[in-house]
Amino acid sequence: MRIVPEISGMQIVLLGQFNPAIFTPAWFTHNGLLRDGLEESAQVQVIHPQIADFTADWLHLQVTNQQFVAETQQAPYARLCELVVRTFSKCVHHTPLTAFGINRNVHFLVSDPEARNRLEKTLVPPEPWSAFREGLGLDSGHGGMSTVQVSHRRPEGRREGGQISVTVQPSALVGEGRTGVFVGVNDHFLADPPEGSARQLMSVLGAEFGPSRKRSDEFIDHVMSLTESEG
Amino acid sequence: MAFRLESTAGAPNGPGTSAGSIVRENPGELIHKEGLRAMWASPGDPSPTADTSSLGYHELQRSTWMGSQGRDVPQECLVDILPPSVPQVPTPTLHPLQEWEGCVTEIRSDEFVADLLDLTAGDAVEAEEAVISKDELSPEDQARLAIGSFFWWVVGYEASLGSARKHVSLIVFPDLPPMTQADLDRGRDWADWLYKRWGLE
Repeated sequence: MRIVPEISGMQIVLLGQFNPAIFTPAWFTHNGLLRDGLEESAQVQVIHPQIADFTADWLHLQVTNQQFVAETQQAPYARLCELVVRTFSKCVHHTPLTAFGINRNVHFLVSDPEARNRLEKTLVPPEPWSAFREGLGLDSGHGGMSTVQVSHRRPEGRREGGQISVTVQPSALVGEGRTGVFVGVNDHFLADPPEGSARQLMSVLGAEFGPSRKRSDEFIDHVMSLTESEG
Repeated sequence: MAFRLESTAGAPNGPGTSAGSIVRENPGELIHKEGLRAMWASPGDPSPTADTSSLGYHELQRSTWMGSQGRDVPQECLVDILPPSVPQVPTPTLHPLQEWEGCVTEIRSDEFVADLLDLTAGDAVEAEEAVISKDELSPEDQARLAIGSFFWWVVGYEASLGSARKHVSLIVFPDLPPMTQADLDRGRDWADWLYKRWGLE
């Protein structure tokens, strides 16, 4: 990436049917999925039959009855994949899974507000909105791009419903509303057959994680390039 | 069980980004309207199977996209676990400039040798070798050092919001459970399968 992000992370999201109450820090350490002792320093938000939510060192985990989300902002990202794959191919491999997503999110700063304006005008040219310039505040600086999402709805080699989506927004976390950009990539895979074995889906996740991450970084770098002036 | 709907659509940075707009009830109580099913679903984002080529989504299906920046909370099903989850930036970011996967091939008194697979370049085979000082490892990881063990090596920038960026090098050995008989059996089956497939019988 040509700009080092201020915030950078990855998520793996699984859809299926889960029992959140089992996903405690102690369960992960007991099964050798997280390092011994982490359960003592983990920040547990809630462990409940309908939701589990905790942070342990590099990992933030949130599980509901339908969704399992593991995320980190600390490389190496491969350990996130390793954790999820081992959890669902070794420990709870009977879990019915229907889909997974590999999400890459970054917030980065550009040099000045003009650079972000350049990006916004490239992605959302103001001309088609010229009749509404005043109504949308495009001239006053109070209006402009909020979200741009571009999706590939039929990625090759993926079951129908698989999707790659890139989302660009002004960052809510960095740049004080003027110089920050958020880019998120969602790489979505469906189980084939639906509700197939967790092991099978995890083997796909293991194989796809690296290429997905590389592809996402290329998308993000491209968005970064759009903030550069031609001169 | 009480609940109160409070729109986050007008939040400065979009739906769900304002922690202050989250509904709270008695500490620890689950506030529940439609059930947790739609808890993190983001109705504003296209569903993966939605037919957006037509004029609407004819088949809604849950997405693995977690919303934009922070968790988007659906307005029609505002459910919260109290207090609001972890901070939006819970840990420092370690952004990798270069990542390798390494396999230990030799251990010396103060250093070890490893074959490296360049993950950043997307290499498929180990093409580099490195000699690494044991001082790079945490005491815990020094105990894990063994011929054949693998690790990840990251060189990158560590940053927290509002603080200086640090250039760091980090070696991490994965948290692997002990090998079981089932693991060994699976490995043996796989080797047998390869042996037959290559016609080596």
